[in-house]
Amino acid sequence: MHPAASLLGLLILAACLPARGAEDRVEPGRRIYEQGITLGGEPLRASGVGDSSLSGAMAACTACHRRSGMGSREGRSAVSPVTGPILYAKTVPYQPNRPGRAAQQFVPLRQDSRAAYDDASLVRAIRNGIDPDGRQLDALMPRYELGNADAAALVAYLRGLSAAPVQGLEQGVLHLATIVTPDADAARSAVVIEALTTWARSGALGGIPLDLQVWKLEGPPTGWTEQLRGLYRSRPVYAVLSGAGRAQWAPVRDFCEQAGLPCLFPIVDLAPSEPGDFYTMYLSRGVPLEARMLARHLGELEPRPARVLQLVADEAGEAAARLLTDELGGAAIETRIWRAESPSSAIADLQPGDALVGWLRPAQVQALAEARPQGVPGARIVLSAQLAPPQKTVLPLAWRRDARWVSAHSDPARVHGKGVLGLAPWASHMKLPLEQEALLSEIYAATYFFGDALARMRGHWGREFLLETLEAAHYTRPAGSAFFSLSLAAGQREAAKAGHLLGFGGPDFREVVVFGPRLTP
Amino acid sequence: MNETAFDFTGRRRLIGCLLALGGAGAMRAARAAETGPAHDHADHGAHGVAAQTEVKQRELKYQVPAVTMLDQRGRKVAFDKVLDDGRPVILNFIFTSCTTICPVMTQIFVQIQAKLATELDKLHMVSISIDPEHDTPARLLAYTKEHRAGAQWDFYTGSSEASIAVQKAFGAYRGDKMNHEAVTLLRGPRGKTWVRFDGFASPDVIVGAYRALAG
Repeated sequence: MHPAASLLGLLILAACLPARGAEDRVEPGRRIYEQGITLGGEPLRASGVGDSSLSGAMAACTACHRRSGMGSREGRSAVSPVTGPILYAKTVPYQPNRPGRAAQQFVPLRQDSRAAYDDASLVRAIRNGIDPDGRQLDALMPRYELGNADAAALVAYLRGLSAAPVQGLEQGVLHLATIVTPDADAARSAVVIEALTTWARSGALGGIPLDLQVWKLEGPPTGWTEQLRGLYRSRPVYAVLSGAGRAQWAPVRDFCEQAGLPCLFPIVDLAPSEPGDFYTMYLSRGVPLEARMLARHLGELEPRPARVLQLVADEAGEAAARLLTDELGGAAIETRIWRAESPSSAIADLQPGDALVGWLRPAQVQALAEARPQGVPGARIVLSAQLAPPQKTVLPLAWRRDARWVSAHSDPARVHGKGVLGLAPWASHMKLPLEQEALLSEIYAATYFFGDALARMRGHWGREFLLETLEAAHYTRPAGSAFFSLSLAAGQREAAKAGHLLGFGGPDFREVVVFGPRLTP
Repeated sequence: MNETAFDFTGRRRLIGCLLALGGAGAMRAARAAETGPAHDHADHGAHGVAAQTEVKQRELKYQVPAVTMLDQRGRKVAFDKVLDDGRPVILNFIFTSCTTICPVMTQIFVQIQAKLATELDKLHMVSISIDPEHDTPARLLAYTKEHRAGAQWDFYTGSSEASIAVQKAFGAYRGDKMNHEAVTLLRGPRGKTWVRFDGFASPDVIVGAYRALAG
């Protein structure tokens, strides 16, 4: 299409549209960008590499340019950013020795500069693959079939993409919050609050002044949404970092997703997960991963347990037990409620060849062990490391010898060993005691990966870009030692992926060690 | 430390090295660009046309490791036997959460599938996951449905060790999955000699090489 004709077409179109401005074109433009659906509800169409044709979701811009518009990188392939501020500005050649940490200009690897796009040249680029200087765009960028209305909508969307000022970053101060729910274990909450407030005061983010709010929620979960909205209204924050919860995290998750607020790496026993969750990210969502690993492990045992008996005492345990039942399928599996007044009655009929799965807290595990100190010879006993970490239990010999814990959390030796490189100096610098090493390691991981992501964002502060940058991080570093295996990628929101059975070994069965091969769901 | 250096086609780039020890307040990004901009996540322009469409084609010998893997239906397979059933093989590496390279590589495979539509029963297309802990058989099966992969196209996952062994055997291992590069491998009905394409080889080029090998 002749450039003058398409420009004229756009002008005529603009003149004909109701005079309400670009705002009412942004939402349809978003649908084109994120889902590959045109204004008319049709799949977006484009021609791709080779002579392939793409349509719909496969053609959607977000697949490569991402929700933030900041693009992506893998290996030596890079997809360029298409945010408003970047497209509509001129780019200058890269200057490697430029001082300061100010946002870098983006430049094609050809080391040339590029003139700023305007609406017309941007439409031309998307349709014909030609940049404002008349050069061909990369062969991997599709050439789109776009009617004038769709083109106008998309261009309006791109102009505003990641262009708005970022909430929570004001006058050079970065505002963060951490969330603590009233049902969280008191020791966990206390350590999280102390560690994070100390970290926020310690000049952690390379000199960026940090202001950390502690949002302590109160009362029943039904009131938390209102409290969160009020807290956020009075002090909007850039992100929520770490936090302490237990099994009622849904109101927090809902709030974060609705507000578009990154909520990163809280420490919880059970977190919900909905398809399409974008802003909430976890090292571990708690017991669901344990349940899935255990389901696979029990399902692969030869011979399989004759019967699986689960004990649950609270909501986290119930959710885990339901998941294990669903995934194990076909086996004789029964869930019983823990009774504090008669601990061993629930397992009175346990036989050799059965498996007992206890989704219990340390005090409950201990009560069970005391009521049946000789253990259950011949039966498998598996407990939850999330709910009752082995190093927090005090058990008679038979239980120490026989019980195993399904765990995504590392064994203490690994946390301690790898902590020499990261956790220990950090804790020492901030004068935090190294008791609760596993818990502190998780908090340290949250601050580390958050700081690392900010550094790699190089002055581009978008919240969606923060989450995409976190997706692309390398989680195998020592800072992640709280867990056996962490990794993330586009669209993933739980970093913990695998685990082991833990148990007691060594003389007199006093040392927590790993048993058996790696477990995966 | 996040530092990777490649020296594939003679260009050398060093990714900015980051120290992000929270407590030490030592968050500086040291950049050591030699010929091009440092490859930082936020610092990318349109990857130069020359580098992107540049494809290197070579013939190399590879030894397929005898590791156990799972296909998209959850069946356990001996991977060396899977590639040794008398069919020519076209092979690549993907992961379902990939956003830069794999969408294009998968599109290329979809195009190959279309171009060879009348002879798919004679061909084996293989995609191996390099994120096996996330890419369960169920996820791979969903991916095959999303891209309308035919019966001749299998996806494999398994333990990290198995996936890494296969990547290493084909010289495609780059450490973290985010460092992976575009590579397609092609072999005739049997033997150890493969045609290797580094870069985004178009469907026509691959089908041309396939015809030369498979006759």
